Amino acid sequence: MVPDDRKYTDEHEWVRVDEEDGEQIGTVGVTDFAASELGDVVFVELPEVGSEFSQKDPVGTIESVKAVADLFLPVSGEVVEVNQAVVDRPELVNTDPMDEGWLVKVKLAEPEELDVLLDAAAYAQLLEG
Amino acid sequence: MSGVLRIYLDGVCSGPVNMARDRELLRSHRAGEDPVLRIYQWDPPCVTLGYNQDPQSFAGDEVAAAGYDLVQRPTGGRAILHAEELTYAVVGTSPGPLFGDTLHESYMTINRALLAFLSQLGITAEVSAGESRAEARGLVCFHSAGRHEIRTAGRKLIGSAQRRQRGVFLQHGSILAGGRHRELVRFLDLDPTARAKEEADLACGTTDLAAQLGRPLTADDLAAMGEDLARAFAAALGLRPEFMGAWG
Repeated sequence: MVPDDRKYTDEHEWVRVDEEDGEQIGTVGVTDFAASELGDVVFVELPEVGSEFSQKDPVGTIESVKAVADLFLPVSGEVVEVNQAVVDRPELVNTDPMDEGWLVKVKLAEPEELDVLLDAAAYAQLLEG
Repeated sequence: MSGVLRIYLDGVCSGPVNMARDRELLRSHRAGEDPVLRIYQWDPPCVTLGYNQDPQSFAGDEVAAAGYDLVQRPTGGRAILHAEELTYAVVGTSPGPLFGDTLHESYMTINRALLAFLSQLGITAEVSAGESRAEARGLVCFHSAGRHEIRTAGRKLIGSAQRRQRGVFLQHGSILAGGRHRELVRFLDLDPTARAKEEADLACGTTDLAAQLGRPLTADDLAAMGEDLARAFAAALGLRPEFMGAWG
């Protein structure tokens, strides 16, 4: 079951947008599929708070016992928070990738970019191949 | 055979050159292109650290004093001393039909080539089942055999690591050819007891081509084996080998 409260990329990232103090804040993570595919995660490298990125820029890496996968930002914007808990406990990416294992929060620069991302149904279809 | 495997038999290079070329292979590869294979050796010996490994955990000045290189890999995992080994690097598309859609399938596809290469040498090997998260956080790569690593008689012979981005991947791996990888322990910042344990673990837990074949191997021997390895890759992938010579 793919949650329908967020958008997805074909690189298996998700972004959920919330309104905070009049700003649109996107919380970004990787999907259950990505976490399962990588296997046991041992390191998470995240960007500096305050840094700005464009959509699809690489912003960090997730290293499992077998691979380093680059993390791409689904939307342009300024990083306003990173999840220090996953830096300290990378296994959160495996145990709860869709919630507690979120990675970065971004102040959206161009909210219309969300329109080109996959909705839950389209992402579910991607997973089914 | 519709596709081509471009092959660089790249001889012996320094650590910084080897890693720069592997990074360039990944940077320049586009999803859907035919895969590229590079096979190489190392001189001087080189300690490589995993992409996220802290360089402070190694005595870099002692590595330099020994005349060895020290360089970070674009891939994950832990430290390796590359001295007597044959190394492969392959870039390809995943998800895709050749290497499969998952990390596991890409490893298993490449493992078919590696196992065929070893079989031609008369070495029977197997793919290991896996290591724990705690082991994966240790300092020394060849200390433990991860899932998908290749072992013979219970000892690790080939260790590999992957970087994945934008639908393409780089996988490179060390085929141990002699016992000098065990020298890594001298550069670890450990107390004598812990150091002795690492030495024992590496001695008991790894093997190499020379030990398996019962004779020492020269750089020329390894160069010849490199060509056999390249042909094993092409055969396993069902591609026509296209030898490009050395890099550049």
